[in-house]
Amino acid sequence: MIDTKRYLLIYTDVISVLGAKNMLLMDTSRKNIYSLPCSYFSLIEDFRKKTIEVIKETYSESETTAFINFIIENDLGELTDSLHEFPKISSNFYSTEKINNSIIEIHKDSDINSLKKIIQQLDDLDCRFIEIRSYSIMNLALIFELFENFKCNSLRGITLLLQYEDCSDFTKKLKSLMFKFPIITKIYIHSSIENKIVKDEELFTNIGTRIIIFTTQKIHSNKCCGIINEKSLVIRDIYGTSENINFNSCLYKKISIDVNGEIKNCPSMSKSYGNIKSNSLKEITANTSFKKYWNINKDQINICQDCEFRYICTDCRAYTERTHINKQGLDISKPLKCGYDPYTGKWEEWSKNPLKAKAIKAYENN
Amino acid sequence: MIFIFSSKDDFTTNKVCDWLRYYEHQYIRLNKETQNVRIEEFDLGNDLIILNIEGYKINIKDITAVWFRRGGLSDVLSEWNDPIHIPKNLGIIQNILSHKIKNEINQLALFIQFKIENGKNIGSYFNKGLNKLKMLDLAKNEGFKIPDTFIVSKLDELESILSKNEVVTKAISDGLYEFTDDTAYYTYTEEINNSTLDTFSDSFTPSLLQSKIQKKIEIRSFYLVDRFYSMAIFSQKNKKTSTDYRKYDSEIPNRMIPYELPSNIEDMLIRIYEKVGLNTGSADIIVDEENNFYFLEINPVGQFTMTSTPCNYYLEKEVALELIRIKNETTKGKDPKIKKE
Repeated sequence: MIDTKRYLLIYTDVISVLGAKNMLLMDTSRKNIYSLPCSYFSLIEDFRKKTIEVIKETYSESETTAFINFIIENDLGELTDSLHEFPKISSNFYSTEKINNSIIEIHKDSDINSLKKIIQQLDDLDCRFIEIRSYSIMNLALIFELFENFKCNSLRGITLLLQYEDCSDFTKKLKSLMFKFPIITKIYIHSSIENKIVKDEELFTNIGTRIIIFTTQKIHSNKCCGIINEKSLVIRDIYGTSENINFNSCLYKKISIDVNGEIKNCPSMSKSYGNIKSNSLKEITANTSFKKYWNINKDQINICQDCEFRYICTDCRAYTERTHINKQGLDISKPLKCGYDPYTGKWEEWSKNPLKAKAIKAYENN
Repeated sequence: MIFIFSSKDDFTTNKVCDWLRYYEHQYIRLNKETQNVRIEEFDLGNDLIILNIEGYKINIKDITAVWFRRGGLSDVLSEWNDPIHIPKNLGIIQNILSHKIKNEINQLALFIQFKIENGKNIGSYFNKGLNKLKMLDLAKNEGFKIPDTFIVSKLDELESILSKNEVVTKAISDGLYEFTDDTAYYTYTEEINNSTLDTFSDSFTPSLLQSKIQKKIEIRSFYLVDRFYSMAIFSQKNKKTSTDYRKYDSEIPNRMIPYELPSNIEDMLIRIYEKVGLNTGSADIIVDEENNFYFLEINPVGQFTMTSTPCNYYLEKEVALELIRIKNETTKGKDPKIKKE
């Protein structure tokens, strides 16, 4: 029997997000999400203030008890005598780095010295993560050469995205690459003949596990980016969640260098702010116009602002429905490749949506 | 300039330094592993003490704010003084002389440490080894509940206490915290019960036993110049962590969320900090089912990142800002630049 004079403490790191039809409970510590009808939102708000006894005056006995059981069974909260000692967790976000992450596109003829220079410049900008992408077969010797004598201060991890190569010692070469350069934390292999994950003993280093992921998915160009589906939604810890609440979850403190050396927010976006041959990354990041999308969080984006998944979504400013521009001339339309409708709470295949046909055509003609 | 005592690769220090660079304040970080530290000049009458740290000449008068996290001058100056200066083959006097010289250097290091900190510091070398028993005694006198605390060194004493109490044991001084290339060694608070009794011999090193508190929550509270940043740890649900929450369960991590201590508890803690002359620290407290607050200990060089991260407190930023505040107060805006030799 529940003592109704008590409170239900829903742990403060469990954050509720209201959508048009549904709501989301985000357990930022355990990294779990729970979809609920949006009518539960006010019940949760009430539990954050009122005793169970008082709540039962408004909501039905069975509804209240069922919800308390749901919270306790999922370890999202517990019964307590008072709530005031558990203040709301802050969702402020601060970071010191000038650039946090970067995407560099390469191909088999990329100039090794230019790439080395880019990585050095990124490290000088306190960049933490780099993804190096190739849409076609690369000579792995070039990658070995790229990281030879490589020293970094700020970088915490490099991810490689490479095309599958049909040779017997391909996996072995990848392993030796990771073993030699522990800064490479993950390798994705696209266009593979099978889906598999390599995560064996040889890949354990003293600074963490290394992993190679093979996928049959073909990634032939940067037009493959920007897909938002149930698999792409990722709940982050309170630090990452706060970043998503305040800033653009894809472009904030990101800089990308496309295959032609053009410096962009994202390789898939057409706007270039300069070229690596004539501009330094530092001078581009000092340009306020380069940073204009950084502050566009999901609360400002049409339709997404009514979506319960808005703080676990990667967003995409490269491919949008092209329906809304804000006062500053920034595209605040819903991502094109998202098939979720927050007003019905249903997922569908985005490319088959007739309303998106015009925007899809516009990108195809580019 | 801001001066930081720490150790190599210390994550918390790295983050504080990130913030100092972000705010564009120069700092010197002296790690305890640093080899190349010498005294360049020492003329007390003219108030002139110049250190040479890896080629950088530091007049300690130019140090305007200090954060003591780890290490300290006596760790690094002893490296500078190589005992090869003592003639060999002196027989029994050899060790005595070597010890004597170490002591000479240590006294010198302690004095310079004192001059560097000089009231403009967060944390202090001179408080790094707080006596746990003294702190428990102080806390009790300030009105805290403390667990029953015994020192035993004989098996029969242990048995007699075990027959009346559920107990845990932990180090009287600092716990073990050592890393080798492939292994980390640290000690936790451990439960002692009848099933572990046969691992003891008839007599052993005097050891600290405390009665086990049936806890509702555990609290870790970081204190920095008049402000508390507290965290509640719900470790009681988890068997692995119910004795010491640092023993992580990585699959189901303990719930850790922001917490506000009652103001009377904060007042008691402030009085304890004042009595030992600390302006920062991390207090460990347990709340039992009856809402009694039990004082466990204060860590004077606060491992605060473990509080900061789950609670989104940005304590590394707060420490950096406090250092900048102290610096501005000491210099009133004027700060000499660091020169390389």
